Amino acid sequence: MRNLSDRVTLVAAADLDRQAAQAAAAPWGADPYTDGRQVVDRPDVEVIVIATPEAAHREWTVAAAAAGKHVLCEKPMAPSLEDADAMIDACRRAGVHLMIGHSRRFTRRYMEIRRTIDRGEIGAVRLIRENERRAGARAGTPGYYTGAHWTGDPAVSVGAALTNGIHEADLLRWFAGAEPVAVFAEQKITIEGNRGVPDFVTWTARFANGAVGSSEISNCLPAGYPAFHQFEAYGVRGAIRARDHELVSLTRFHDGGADYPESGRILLHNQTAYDREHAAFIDTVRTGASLPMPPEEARAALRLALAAVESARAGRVVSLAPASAGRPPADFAAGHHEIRAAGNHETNAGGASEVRA
Amino acid sequence: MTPSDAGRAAPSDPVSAGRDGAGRAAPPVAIGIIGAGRHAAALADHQAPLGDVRIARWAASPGGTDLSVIREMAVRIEAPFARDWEAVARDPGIPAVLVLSETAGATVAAEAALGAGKIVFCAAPTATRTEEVNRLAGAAAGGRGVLLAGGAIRHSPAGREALRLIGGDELGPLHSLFGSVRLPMTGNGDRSAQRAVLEEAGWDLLDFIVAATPAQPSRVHAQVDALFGSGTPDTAVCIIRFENDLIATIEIARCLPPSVPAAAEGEIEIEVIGGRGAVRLEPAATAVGVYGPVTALRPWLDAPVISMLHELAAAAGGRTPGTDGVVEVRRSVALMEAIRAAAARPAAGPESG
Repeated sequence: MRNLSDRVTLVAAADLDRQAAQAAAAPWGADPYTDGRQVVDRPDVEVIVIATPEAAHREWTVAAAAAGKHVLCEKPMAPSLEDADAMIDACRRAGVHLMIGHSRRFTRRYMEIRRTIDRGEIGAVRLIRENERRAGARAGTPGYYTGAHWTGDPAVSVGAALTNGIHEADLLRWFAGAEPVAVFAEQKITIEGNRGVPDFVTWTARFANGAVGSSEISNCLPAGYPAFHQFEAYGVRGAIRARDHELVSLTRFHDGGADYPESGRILLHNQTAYDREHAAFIDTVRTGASLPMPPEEARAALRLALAAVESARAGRVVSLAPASAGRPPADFAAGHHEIRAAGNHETNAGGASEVRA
Repeated sequence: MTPSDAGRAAPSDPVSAGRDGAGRAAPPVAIGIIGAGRHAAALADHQAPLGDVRIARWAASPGGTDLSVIREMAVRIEAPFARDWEAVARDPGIPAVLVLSETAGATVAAEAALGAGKIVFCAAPTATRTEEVNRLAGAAAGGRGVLLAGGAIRHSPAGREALRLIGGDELGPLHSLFGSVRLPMTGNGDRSAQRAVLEEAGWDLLDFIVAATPAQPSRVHAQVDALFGSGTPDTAVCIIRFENDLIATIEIARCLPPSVPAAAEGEIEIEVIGGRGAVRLEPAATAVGVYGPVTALRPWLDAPVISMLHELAAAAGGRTPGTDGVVEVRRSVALMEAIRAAAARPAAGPESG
C-alpha cells in the first residue's frame, strides 16, 4: 500500500496483537486497535483490507459490508463455499465492492501467460502444471504449519490446499479457460510438530473442455531448498514455461545452509503484483470500473481447492457439476452441496492385492 | 579378423573385442549383447576402455528388427556380430548377457538366457505383464540364472547418486516424489509415437520409484488422455500413495512442440523430497542442449548402458548383486498394472444438473 500513498491513506489498523497493529499503523500515522470493530465503525474508512486467517473472512466481510465499506480480502476467500457465498451476498446487498487478493492474477508473468493464451499462440491449452516449493521455517521465524504459526492451527487452517493451493486452483482454471469437472488429490503432513494440518498436497483436475491441470505444493521443505514455482502449459501448437528454479538469482550460504533471499521478491514479483492488485481495486472503488478479479472467480477457485481437500480426505475422485467457464455460476445457492463424491477412478486398499509383489 | 568376419565367429571364440582392460589382473568378462534399444548408440560412441568387460558377441533382437543397426554398431566397437540371438543366449563361452531389446523381445531373450544359466542384465522394461515375470522367475530358477534389471534413470550417474542418498537415509523419511517425462509432441518420427505414452516412456520412471522405496502402493490414481491430437493416449498423470506414506506424482506427456529444444527421448525431471533433504534431477542441468535440428545429447541417459555392463561384469565375477532383478521387475510390473487398472476405470464425469 505504501507505493499507493498518493491515492490511499491508511487511517486505522487492527490486530489482536497490539504490537502488530502498531507496526502496521505507525508508518502512516494511523490509529492502532486491537479490535477490528473499531476500524469497521469509523466513518472515515472507505475500504477495509482483511488479512486475517480465512476462518474469519466471512465475519469481517459481512461486518464491513454492513457498515458500507468496500472489502479487499486476502486469499483464500473462505474455508467453505457457504462462507464465500455469504460474503458475496453481503457485499452485493450492501452495494459495495468485494475483491479477493489473488495476487498472481496481477503478476506480470502470469498476466503475460494469459495474454499469450488469449492470442492463440499455443493453440488450445491441453495440459497445465504449476508446482510450488518453499523451504520451511528459518531460524527466528515461525514456519508455516508449525505450532507457532496460525496455518498450523487446525481450528482456523484447512492446510496447503487452501493456504497456498488456492493460487494454483485459480491459475489452473484461468489458463484452462474452463471449470473443473473432476479432481483427485492426496495430502499429508510432512513436518514434526504439525498439529494435524496437511502441509503437502498434490492434485490433478480434469476440466470441462478436456484440459488437464495438476499441481503439487510443498512449503515445508528442508532448509536450503530454493523457493520456486514451476509452471508449464502445453497447447496443441506450442508451450509456455515459467520455471523459477532455472533462474535462481542469488544464493546465500551460511551456517544454516543456503537460502535464496531474492527468489520470493524478484522471481515472483510479489511486490509489484500487490501494487497492481491494490491499484486495480482502488480504481474500481474510485471510478466504478469493473473488478479485474470478481469474487465469483475467487469462489470458483475455492470450489476446486475444496474439492481437492474432499478428494484427499475421502481417497477418491470428486466430481463437480459443470459450470460456465470463467464465469460465475448463475445461482450461488447451490453452494457446497454441488461437491459430491463420484465413482472410483483409482484402486484402493481393497484392491491392493494386484499391486503387491 | 575383419568386421565382416565377426558374425561368423565361433560361439566361444576368444576374440578380443577391443577396449578390454589391458593390464588388469583378472581377465575381462565375456558379455554377449542382444538387441540395440536406445542405448546402442551410446555404447558405440563410448570411447573409454571398458576395463572388466569384453563384448564377446552382439546379436540382433528376437525378430531381427534391429539387425542392420546392430551390425553397424558391432562394427563400430569391433565386436563379433551375430544374427542368431539364441546362439548368444546359450553360448557356453559367454557367462553374462546384456539384453537391450525392445519390450517383447527383451522378455523372450532374457528368459532364454536365464534358462541357460546366464547372468542377465535386462534393461527396463524387462517385462510388462505379471505372467512374463513369472516366466522369467521360472527360467531363472530352472536354469540357475541370475537376473539384474533396471532402467536408464536408475543407472545414470545422477540417478545412482540420488538413489545412494535416498538409500543412505540422508534425505530422511521420504515425503514426496515428483517425476515428469516430456516427449516431443510428434513422437520420435518412428513407431514409438503410436504407442500409449505410459507404456512407451513410463518404465524407467517406475523403475526409479521402485528403487527409491521398498514400500507397496496403497492407492493409485491414474488418468490417461489423448490431448495432443496423436490419436493415441499421449498424456498420463498418476498420483500414487505408498504404504510408507510416500506420495509420488508422475506426469508423462508427449506434449513438447517442435520449438522446444529437447532430445528425442524427451526431458526427464525427478524431485525427491525427504524430511531432512531433497534431490532434484533436472534436465537443464544434466543434458547438453543443442539448439537446432540436431538431437540434444543426453550424457546422463547415455551413460547407463556402460553402468549396466560393469554391473553385469561384477556379478559374473562373483560379486553378489545388490538387488534381485526378478523382485525388482515384479514390483515395476505390479505398479504399472495398478496404474493401468486405475486408468481403465471409467472417468468420473460431470454430475448432472
